[in-house]
Amino acid sequence: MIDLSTIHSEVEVQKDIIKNFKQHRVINQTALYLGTGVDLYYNPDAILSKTYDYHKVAILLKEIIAKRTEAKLAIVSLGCGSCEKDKKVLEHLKETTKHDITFFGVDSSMAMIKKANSVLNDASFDSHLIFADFGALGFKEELDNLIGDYDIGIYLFFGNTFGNLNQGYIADVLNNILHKGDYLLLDVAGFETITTTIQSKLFKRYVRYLESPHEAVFFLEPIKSFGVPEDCGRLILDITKDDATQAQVFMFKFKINNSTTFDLGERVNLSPNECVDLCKILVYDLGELNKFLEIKGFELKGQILGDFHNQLLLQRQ
Amino acid sequence: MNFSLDFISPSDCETKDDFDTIESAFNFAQTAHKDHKRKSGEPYFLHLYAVAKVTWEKYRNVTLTAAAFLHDTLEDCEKVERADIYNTFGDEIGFLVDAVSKCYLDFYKLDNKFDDKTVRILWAGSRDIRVLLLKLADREHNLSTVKFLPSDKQIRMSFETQAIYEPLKNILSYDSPVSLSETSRRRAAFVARHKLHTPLEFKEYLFRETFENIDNDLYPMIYENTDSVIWKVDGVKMFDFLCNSDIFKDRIEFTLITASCEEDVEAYFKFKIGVVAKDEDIKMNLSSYKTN
Repeated sequence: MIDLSTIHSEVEVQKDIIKNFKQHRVINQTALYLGTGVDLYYNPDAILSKTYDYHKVAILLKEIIAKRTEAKLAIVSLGCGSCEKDKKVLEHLKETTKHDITFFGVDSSMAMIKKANSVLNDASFDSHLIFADFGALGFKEELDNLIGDYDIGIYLFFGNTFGNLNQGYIADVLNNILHKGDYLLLDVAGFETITTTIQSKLFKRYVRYLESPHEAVFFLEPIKSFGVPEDCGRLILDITKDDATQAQVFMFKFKINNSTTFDLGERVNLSPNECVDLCKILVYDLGELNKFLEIKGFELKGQILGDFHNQLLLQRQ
Repeated sequence: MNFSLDFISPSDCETKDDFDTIESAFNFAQTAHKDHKRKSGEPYFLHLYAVAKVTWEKYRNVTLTAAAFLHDTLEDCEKVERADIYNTFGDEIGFLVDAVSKCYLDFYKLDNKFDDKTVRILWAGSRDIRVLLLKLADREHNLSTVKFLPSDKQIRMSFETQAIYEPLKNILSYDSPVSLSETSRRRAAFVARHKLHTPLEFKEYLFRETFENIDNDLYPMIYENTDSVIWKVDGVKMFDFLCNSDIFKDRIEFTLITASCEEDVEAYFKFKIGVVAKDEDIKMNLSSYKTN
């Protein structure tokens, strides 16, 4: 495992999460995957969805590297989590190409890095895990030091995590990390266009999470760990539209019913009707997303369109 | 500013008492609304005068014209109680004024209670056709000064007019008035022909007709430039209906959907600019919308 200096410890991550919660009443997405959150999230069967076509994804990647058979290939997975998907894709890719492939998994959750370490233990490709926040200043320079000698950089952004973050911010981060000519494979939930009929179906899909023993517990874990009693509020879902990408935003929030006070280094009070943003999921209108990404410097080079899950292969311009 | 009762003289009335009733209502209203102004800045009494004048010109009915002078006293004059109107002007005028006052869901001298103001007025119109004629005259004059209202109220008034009062005008031949008894017969014939057994069925029928009448000139005016008006529906059933109805699904855009469980959903939407919606049974709650 390779450590980068951009994140020194989970204590710092925790501090950042608490600061953000106090200032903005928002739970950083990272918080969901820390500590016990990992165990709640970690479900290999769910992660390795049967509908995810790893072979197709590998073929899509193979097509872009086919003409450069001698090239050294760095595959960097941003927010790699437990690396289940990465491993599957890379194994398929290894089968179909003779490229020299090295894998770099980046995650800001040490617990996830540990899971990934055990998952990649028997991997058939060279792999490195990096405990870092890829949005942090200095990450690009440190990554460049590691992969500067490689001919092609392919960045993987799996699990729809692109949609968990502010769209302008994450597109800028990716634009800064990738070099001109590098590729980005994005997992995104979406449709060619989003009609109200699709909105109705999406509503039914996500509203179930409010009462699901798995998702509801997962969403609430971070605030529970702060000492917020579960019975002082309720989980709600707000659906809006993201201004930048026109995507449907499914925001799970904790809405306070009864005033509650707890200690996070200093006194924090949540009063009735205050909301804490817990988790954001974006479902894209793919046409609109591509327009947005083009403006942000990414050109669409290939795609696998599914009923809901899609993979976009983009090249940094 | 003092007004004179110049559109009517004692000789226009069958008895002196009739003239006195109208004059008494004229004076009562002028005193009650003495300090009131319209949004346009004009004295409020001008509206009452205009409504009374048009009812007189159309129907020559003392009760109706007296009620026209008094029709906003219960809503707008704090010191005027329903008992004052009934006691001073009698039950017939009292009932007309009571019926067109939006601040009540019941009637002063009756046991009936209603959840819906439109249903209430349609019910009252089935008892006394003059309720509907008074409301039509009132609405017609209000529309002439609609531009002075905030945009959301303009839209609400336009929508309500389109949905309820325009069809009623046609049913009651308001623009080519006939006698009160014939007007009443036409209403009764209409509800019988369409098997509208209750005021609620009558209201729903009128709404349905409205949504089907896409070519009506007034209709596009309602939704033109209304993208700042956010409509709200409650419940998953209504939300599903909007999402999947062929008529609505391409014409609206949700601005916020919020839920605490599948059954408890509130959806806010707006009409896309330049698009006119029509449908046979959408029950949008007019009082529930708000502006951005």
